[in-house]
Amino acid sequence: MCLGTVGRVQKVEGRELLVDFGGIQRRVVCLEKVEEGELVVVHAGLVIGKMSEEDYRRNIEEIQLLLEETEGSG
Amino acid sequence: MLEGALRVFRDNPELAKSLCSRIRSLASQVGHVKFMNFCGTHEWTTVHFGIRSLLPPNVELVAGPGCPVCVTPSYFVEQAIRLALEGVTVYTYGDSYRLPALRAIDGCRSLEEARAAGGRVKLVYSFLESTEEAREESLFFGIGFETLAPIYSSLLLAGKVPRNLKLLSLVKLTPPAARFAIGYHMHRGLLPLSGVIAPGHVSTVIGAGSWEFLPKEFGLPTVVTGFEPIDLLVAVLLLLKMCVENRPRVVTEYRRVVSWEGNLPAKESMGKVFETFESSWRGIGVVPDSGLFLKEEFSDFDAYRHFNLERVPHSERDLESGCRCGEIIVGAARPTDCPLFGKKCTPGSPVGPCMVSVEGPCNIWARFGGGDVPGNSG
Repeated sequence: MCLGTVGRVQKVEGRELLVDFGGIQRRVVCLEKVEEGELVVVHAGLVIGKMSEEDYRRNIEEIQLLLEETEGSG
Repeated sequence: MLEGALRVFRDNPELAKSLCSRIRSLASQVGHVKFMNFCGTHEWTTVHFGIRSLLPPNVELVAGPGCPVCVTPSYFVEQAIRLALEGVTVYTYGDSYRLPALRAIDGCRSLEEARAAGGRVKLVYSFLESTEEAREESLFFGIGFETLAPIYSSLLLAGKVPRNLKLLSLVKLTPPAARFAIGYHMHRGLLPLSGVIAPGHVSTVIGAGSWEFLPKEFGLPTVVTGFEPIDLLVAVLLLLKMCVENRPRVVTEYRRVVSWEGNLPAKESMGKVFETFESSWRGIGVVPDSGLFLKEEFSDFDAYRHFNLERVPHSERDLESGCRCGEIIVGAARPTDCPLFGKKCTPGSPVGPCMVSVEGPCNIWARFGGGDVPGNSG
């Protein structure tokens, strides 16, 4: 039920966006400020969050750090 | 970035092997641990990608209340069927369309059957569609967790909901459900939980900080994680690390989407439109402060008021005889423990509510062979 689909913002019209999901476009509602080209997570017609390049990089860096911290943990 | 994310978090056997090796090492330093998820999509990822089969026998993953369709009381399905047959247009998500009622209304036990019998039932992808389409007296069957509440509140605040469309808010809150499930395991002689895999998308809205009560009140390590197999393995490793170090806290693995504060405009919108009240959970009972209902200012759109429906139905018997959905939904039993599973109750012909939604634990286990791994005893 809480499945989120990631799509790219094509067009911003006030609180409604046109979002592209790999070729399929949908109109969705968004309460946050977004710009064309940004990646958003959509759930049942609502943008619940944005996916930023920086946070994505930090996500991967933190996994790398975890691997280093737990290396040879046995 | 999107394609890259799939390579990193899904199609990445090397990283998966490294994580599993570390999971095995840390698991050897703890006794039996039981980690609970609170999201149907996490259970889907766990089962679909065979995560349980990769874990040592002393690391148990259990599915908690993570499917709003599964916990919507039969009473509301029955009332929606009745209204659809009386000529009210009932809008519903596909997930709730086949949800079985305990008692048939004019021979119909689901909205699907009501439509087949001539009732006015329409499937929609989002609340937005129904607001644009509704012309006659209509009801929106508003199932959901915190991820859905903001679309209801934002369209109401924007004045986009026509007066003829009434919202039946069946929105349920996950932190009170987590509190309930933890208490259930503590007080019924079950092995207590050792950690929590918190729902990624619910947390996108409410913020990772909303789970701080888990380590503070219950000493439970908590990881807010994403929905790819690598996300789940990282979550298990982080939980084990916290167990070994005895340092329970909330860690956000799903950093690429979730913040500590959550989606502030969405939370503000919800706060203006909804109030919190006790709510009935099918097979579980009444859970305090776990439901969102429209505030008085929005009573013109309130289906409870317009159609004179009970907000909190108290039904002692809300499941078919033999159905164990009430225990399955709190992680006290596995789908395969139910005598109806795969026999009388299947995805094609669901008897219990956990077999209906693609995110119900029984439906997931039935479609993908379950996570029935020796050593994980439920």
